[in-house]
Amino acid sequence: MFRTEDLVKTFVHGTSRIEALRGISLEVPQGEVYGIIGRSGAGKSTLIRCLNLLERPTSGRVLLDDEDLTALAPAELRRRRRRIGMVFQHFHLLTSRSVLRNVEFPLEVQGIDRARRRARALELLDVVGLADRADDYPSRLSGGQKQRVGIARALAGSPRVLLCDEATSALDSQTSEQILALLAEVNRAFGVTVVLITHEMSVVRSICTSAALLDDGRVVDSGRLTDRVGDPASELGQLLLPLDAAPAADGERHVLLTFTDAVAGSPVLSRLARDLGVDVTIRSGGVERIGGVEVGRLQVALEPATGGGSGPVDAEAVVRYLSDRGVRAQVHA
Amino acid sequence: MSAVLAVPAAEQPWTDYLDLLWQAFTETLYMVALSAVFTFVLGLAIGVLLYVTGPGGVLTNRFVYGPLGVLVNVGRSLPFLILLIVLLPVTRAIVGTSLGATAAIVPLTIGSSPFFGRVVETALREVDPGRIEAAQSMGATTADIVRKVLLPEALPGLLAGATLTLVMFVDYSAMAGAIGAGGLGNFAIKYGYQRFNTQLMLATVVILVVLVQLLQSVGDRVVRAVAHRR
Repeated sequence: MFRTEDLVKTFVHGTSRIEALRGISLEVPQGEVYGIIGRSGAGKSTLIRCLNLLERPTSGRVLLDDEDLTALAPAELRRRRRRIGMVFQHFHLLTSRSVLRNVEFPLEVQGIDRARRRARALELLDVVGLADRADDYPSRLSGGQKQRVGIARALAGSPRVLLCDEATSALDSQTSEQILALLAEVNRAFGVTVVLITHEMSVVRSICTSAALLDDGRVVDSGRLTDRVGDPASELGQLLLPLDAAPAADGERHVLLTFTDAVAGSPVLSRLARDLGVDVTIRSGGVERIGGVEVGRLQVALEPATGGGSGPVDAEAVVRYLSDRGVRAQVHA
Repeated sequence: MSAVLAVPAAEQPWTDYLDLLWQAFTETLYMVALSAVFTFVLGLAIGVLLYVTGPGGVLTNRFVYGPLGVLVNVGRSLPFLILLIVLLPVTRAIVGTSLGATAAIVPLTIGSSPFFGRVVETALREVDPGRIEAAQSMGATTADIVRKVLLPEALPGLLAGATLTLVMFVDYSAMAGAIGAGGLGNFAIKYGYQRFNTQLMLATVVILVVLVQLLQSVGDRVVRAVAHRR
């Protein structure tokens, strides 16, 4: 639904040029919770601000439902922006308005009458669990509550996509988890696509279904998490579920394997040991729930089973055996 | 407005001048109130225009911001007394006369609007740009942003600036009195200074001090009430 084509953004300050984005092409599929992760300075904030053109890209296109936003006249762009809600790190609520009137704001801008505005805003405050604070001013709310209002406000105009710019970075970890749970709930209940940027891998792990890894203005790796984590060469996979690969000792053959869901619950390794006559030792790795799916990455050492055949283990045969059973494996040099 | 009142002899105590004093006081209030209304409207327009077209504004335009800024600075660099005299023909053209309280409203408005315009610009700059961006992300027009975000968010600062300007009006209106605008300034010069009546001079000073105190404390109170609600 959201697509960028070769986005470039260069900031010029006097004689210095900062290349924030160096050609970003991404595709955010409908209904996903899409994480954009990277270190600070990687360009993620610039990227998300380019998606609704708060920042004009130097070159490249931004397409929402196949319509090029960069080509729109200002009035048209304003109308399209109503389909894109945005949630900010520092909330950016209006201090001069009550919670209710903050949530009404986007509807007011759209020219919707007072009664309908009010009804819709109350409905959304109920969704975010703050219906009882409707008449309070934002200054009386905690950070987490402010962000809930921010989310309600972003949803008021019934957008198709929600852009979250470090939405949980200003919150403590417990509050942050609650806000993430709310975003996941919004994605599930309203079918709103969520694009969020973050510098915390834990955020991606807990709610994202897809992600892009940004480094120095470029996309290093992107795709569905279950797919990325299953690819031993994936940088995102490595970040999601770090595997601290150790070099193999003399005479040992190491295999890196990744598996998801169904496989995670079955005794593949013990069957492997029995069927191929090898001893399997886990050297490093782990199993975690990522994007709602159980995934594992392991490094295992293979040795001939005691009393079994002689000579080195046929690692290629092990890889074939595992691949046939839904485990992605590769020999580790 | 200015009914001709009998003038007591110079050496009479100040209580004999109460009628004249009251008349001068109401003239001052009239000048201050009307110039304030015009200045707030004009200054608000100048301030919003400066902010919106200024660096980092919603409609940055240096061809508007540059000349307007120069005009505002010229207006502010002229001493008010000079401005009063320079504007005499303009005042005559607008009001029909260059004398009296009504005529004083023209130089007062023109003299204070650039100042209040800068006050407005500064108050608007205090608004977190993130809030403006949030409004933009929701599809707000520039007019929406000015009316629904900038002005309401900057309200405490605007009111504090308005109080500052009101107090300045009391000062300026007294100066205008010196060249025939009437009011307390005129009273102090005519009856206090020129007729060597120290009592009257003191009475005017006391009234001016009380008036300024009153305006300031009411202003502070309003600002606090508005800020407290948030």
